[in-house]
Amino acid sequence: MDPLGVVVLVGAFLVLLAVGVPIAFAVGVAGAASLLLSVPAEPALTTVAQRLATGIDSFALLAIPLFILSGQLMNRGGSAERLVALGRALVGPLPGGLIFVNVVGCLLFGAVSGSAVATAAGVGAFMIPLMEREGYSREQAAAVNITASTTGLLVPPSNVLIVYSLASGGVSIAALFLAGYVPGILVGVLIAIAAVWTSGGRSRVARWELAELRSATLAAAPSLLLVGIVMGGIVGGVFTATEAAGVAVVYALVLGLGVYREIRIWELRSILTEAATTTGVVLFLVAASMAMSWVMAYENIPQAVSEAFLGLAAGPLAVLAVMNLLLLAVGTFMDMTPAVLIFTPIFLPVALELGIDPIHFGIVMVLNLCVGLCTPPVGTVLFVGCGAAGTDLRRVLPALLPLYIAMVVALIVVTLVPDLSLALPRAFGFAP
Amino acid sequence: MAGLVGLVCWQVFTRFVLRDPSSFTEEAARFALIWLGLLGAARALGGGLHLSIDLLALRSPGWARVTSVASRAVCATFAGGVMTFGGAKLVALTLDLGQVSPALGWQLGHVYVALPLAGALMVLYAALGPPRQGARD
Repeated sequence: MDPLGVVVLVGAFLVLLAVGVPIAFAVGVAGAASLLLSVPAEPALTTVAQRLATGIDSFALLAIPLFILSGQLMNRGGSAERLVALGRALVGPLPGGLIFVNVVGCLLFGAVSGSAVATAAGVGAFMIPLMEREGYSREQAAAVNITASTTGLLVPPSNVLIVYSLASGGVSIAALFLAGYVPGILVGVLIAIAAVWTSGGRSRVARWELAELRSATLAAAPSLLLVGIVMGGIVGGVFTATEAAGVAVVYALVLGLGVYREIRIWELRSILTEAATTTGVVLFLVAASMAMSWVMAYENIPQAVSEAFLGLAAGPLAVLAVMNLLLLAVGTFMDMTPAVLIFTPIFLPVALELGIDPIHFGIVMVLNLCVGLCTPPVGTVLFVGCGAAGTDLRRVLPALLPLYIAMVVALIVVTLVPDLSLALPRAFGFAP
Repeated sequence: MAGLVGLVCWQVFTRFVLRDPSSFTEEAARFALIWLGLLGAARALGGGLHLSIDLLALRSPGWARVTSVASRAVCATFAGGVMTFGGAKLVALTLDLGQVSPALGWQLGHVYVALPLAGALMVLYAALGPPRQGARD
């Protein structure tokens, strides 16, 4: 390992980030600059260019644009409203009802839309005014909405888990999807409890009524069926994640145009363009991160890090704790996709060496980075959530603090109890 | 984007209805993904949609101007140096070696044209500067 190369790699990245260079470009430039130190210009630039292209040349990655598109179709297609209504019928009668409704709405819609940002915007638009009317402060409502939105990244289908599957060199997507359920729900429950506790628990908003429950379930069923088809197909081995994503697009299209009738044909053009641009942002992050990860491997950084970790001669739990702390720090300023792509190749070999299951490790990593999505300075969900509530960071932070603690508690529990992640995949025969 | 959806659906269709998965769609879809990803990224740069930290820029309008110029210069350098120059070299090199894709028999060099093309677009967008406020949602 060439120390100068590492210094350039990390230093350039941090400086560029601070100056406001988009993360994907900062990752790419840092990787290229570091490689230029040891390799002549022409082959270095050609190699990085090649890594950019081959980094996204993958059939598994194809699922991402398709899930983005189906998510966007579901967003415009009126799913958020129906899923929130279902949440209301299900958990509205609990003490602090609307907090639970918000969390359940985020969980359901996060799963359907596959995007924490879309969830913060979509569910927030309904829930925040509703909660304000019931006497919650706007900041409390926004804080619940922001943190709960990230649960959709654990509850499948989830693009981040696909990215992890790629970075880990082929951990089964079906297993990861199954593994996300229990931890995702656990995070949601802890967030809700923390929020109810700190807000003093307002009145319940409804009573359980069979008729309402039935009609809400019926209205939301077509949206939830999307998840059912995707998960059933993947877990049942009927199709791959990518093919499932293709089916999801067709299904969402039929639903939005034909069943709910909330999308007009002429809107499709703008939906497609928007999905393509979002895809561009995500895939370019993937491409640049893959290039940087290659440069790191070229400079033997993963080996050095893993030797350092193993040299500590600490148990798996101590190592996981250190990794968690590092990732929490990284998550504050790095977006989830590049963090997963860059740190998986570095940390996973150590974890495997210590006998940690790669499925469990992936879930811990994603849950960890979810916290980062809600913290400044880089927290996409945080900013979208503040925007949806019409408030700003400084006012939301006090309401967010207890919820951060809830998320970290969930992280600790999920880290300590691998069975939370592994029980479901095991039950379906995807894990030992 | 629509083409990509079509390709994957065709793949599912051929696999289940015809019981004979067509290998050409998989490859074509992967190449479409490279093009979509890179050109979409160029478009996103034009729309100012890539994620970045704007803490320094928020300090004052002066800082905002400095960081915006610096950040655009960095983006343009990367797009020009790695993507356009490195990408063009890569295209030439792969064409020279005559690498073809296994299922479709396409020249891989032609697939990689997406790199210099998206790179050139990015340089252009970076030079044009960010979109006016309000255009960004």
